[in-house]
Amino acid sequence: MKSEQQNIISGGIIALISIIVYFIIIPMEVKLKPDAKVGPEFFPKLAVFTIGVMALIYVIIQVRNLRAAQVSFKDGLMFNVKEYTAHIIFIAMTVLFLILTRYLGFAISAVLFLISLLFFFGSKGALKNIIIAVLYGITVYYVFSNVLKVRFPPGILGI
Amino acid sequence: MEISEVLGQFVDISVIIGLFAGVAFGIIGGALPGISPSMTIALLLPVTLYLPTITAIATLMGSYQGAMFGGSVSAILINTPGTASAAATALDGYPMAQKGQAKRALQTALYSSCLGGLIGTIILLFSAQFLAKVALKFGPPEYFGLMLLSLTLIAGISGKSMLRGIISGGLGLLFATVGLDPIYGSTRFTFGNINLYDGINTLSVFIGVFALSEIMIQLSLGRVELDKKPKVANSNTNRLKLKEFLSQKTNILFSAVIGSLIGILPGIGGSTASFMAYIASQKRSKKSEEYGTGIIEGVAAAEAANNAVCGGALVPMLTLGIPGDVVTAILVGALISHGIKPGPLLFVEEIGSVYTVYISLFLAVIVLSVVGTFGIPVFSKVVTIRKSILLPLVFIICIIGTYASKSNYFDVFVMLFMGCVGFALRKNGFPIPPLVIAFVIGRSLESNLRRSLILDSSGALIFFSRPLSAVLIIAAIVSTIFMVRSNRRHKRKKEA
Repeated sequence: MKSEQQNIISGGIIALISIIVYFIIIPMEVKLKPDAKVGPEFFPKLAVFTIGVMALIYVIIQVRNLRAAQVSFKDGLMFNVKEYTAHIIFIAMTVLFLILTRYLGFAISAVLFLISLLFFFGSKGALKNIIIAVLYGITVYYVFSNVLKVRFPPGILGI
Repeated sequence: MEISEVLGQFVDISVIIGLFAGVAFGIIGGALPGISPSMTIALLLPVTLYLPTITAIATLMGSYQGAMFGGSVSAILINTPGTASAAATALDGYPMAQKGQAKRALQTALYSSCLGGLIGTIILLFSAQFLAKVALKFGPPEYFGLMLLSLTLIAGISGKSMLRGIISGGLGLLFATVGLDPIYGSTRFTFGNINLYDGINTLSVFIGVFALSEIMIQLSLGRVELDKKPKVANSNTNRLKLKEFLSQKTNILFSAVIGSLIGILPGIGGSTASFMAYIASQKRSKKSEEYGTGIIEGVAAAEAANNAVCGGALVPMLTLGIPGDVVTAILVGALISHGIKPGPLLFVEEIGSVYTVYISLFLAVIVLSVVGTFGIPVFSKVVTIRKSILLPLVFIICIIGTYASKSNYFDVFVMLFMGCVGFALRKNGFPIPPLVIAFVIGRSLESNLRRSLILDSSGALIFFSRPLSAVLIIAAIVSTIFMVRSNRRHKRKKEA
């Protein structure tokens, strides 16, 4: 019954976010035009309202399914946060890389980031990983910056 | 000038080299995420200014067709649409590659692109002036009707649960509202950040929800599994058979017609066309439930449509001098710099130039089939690389591609956010295509809806007081009813 539990949680989160967006974020973040016939808030409200109503219906259906299976949340939450440790580390590594690019420049940080990613994804062989990262990182940087004329902010070494 | 005289000018080595170089450059540009077809053509533009007119036009048309196909290469191999138009190709192309049929998927994409491109050119050749007049009749209510029809088709690609599809589509619409309001220009969901004034970058959404979410899903497999050597299908299942391709002729023809017609309408573009063709193909097919699992029908429909857009997009450009998108705007600039002024008078005063464009587009398709055929065996080697190496390399391309589109790291952070959203949705069984389609058409849907309501004091009645918009809206309502009924029938059958 893990899927029903998961569906109730995901549907509930979406419904809750919809309520927050409708009642708090839209009034704060959408500048209203009082004299407008169809104002800027019309469409976002329509979209959020649809999402919220659908999410509530979805949760009700899933609760009914869970009851039909005679299981409840009291039997224990079949949800493991540890499943997502690798994903959290991966996103944190990427954010760190993006911050580093401002100081080290794109080319150097990309090579360092690529080496760490190769290890993180399970590629074996330190020398092989370093060679792949250096060759690929430099080639990609060269193609985008010199051939396709994409401008990267320079780092400490000017690249 | 007669068409035979113009054709004679193409028997020149510089023109042929221009076509081949344009197609090859286009494929590479299109395959690289972040380098859009418009950017590819813009990069070629300075070079073409020094070329003779015919060579320049041939090179530009070659790169246009090449870029439209190139986007599918990365969409199929690494689930990263190189261009927005190739997003629909990833829906079936990537699952085919996962099944070890990368070569078959690429061949389907290539030959469907070529046929789609040819059909688009033929439509341009025979109906340019007539279609341009029809396109001019499209006002906000008609655009809204067309967008609404596309949006209702979301129900058809919602997978197992229509509710999840609608929620996913709603999220796409909500993301599309970020930025300056299309009517009043007031800010919405920008949180004081100037980078969001222009809305969420389309590429950040595509790369995030398709590629990054896929990388995160793969990451769940664990390091040992990722470092295993990928299984490669035997050459029989990994090759497109002629009979198999010919069975797609109706699918390709329909999709190409949809692509051409959408291409004619300014501002809609290849991504909407390919999604609409994909959904229309799914609705017609007997295998509709297999769409999204990796079948050639899905790839053929999306690719035929997005290359047919090229011919369609040239209709308003050549006949009215109105560029419908960024690519045609660049092409207008290129033509003007060569002394050709697109517009109604072009067909009277410089019919030779019109023929030059037609023939260039036609030859570009033929050259694309040659270059693509030789390129596919090389491209398809990508799937033989271990995932532990391939995924980090793809991710670097995702980052650099997202950054390259606007030279802004903010877009990369948005891509990361969208990747997490895509991952969370996929993990919980929510389909991604409705989100992407709704995001693509959301802005246009909203602005045309509100413009229509503001234009007329009768309110929503305006949509039914104009025949074309009434037909489109009724079609949207009818198709929704049919889809809901067919979904219920499928569910009951399964339960039985």
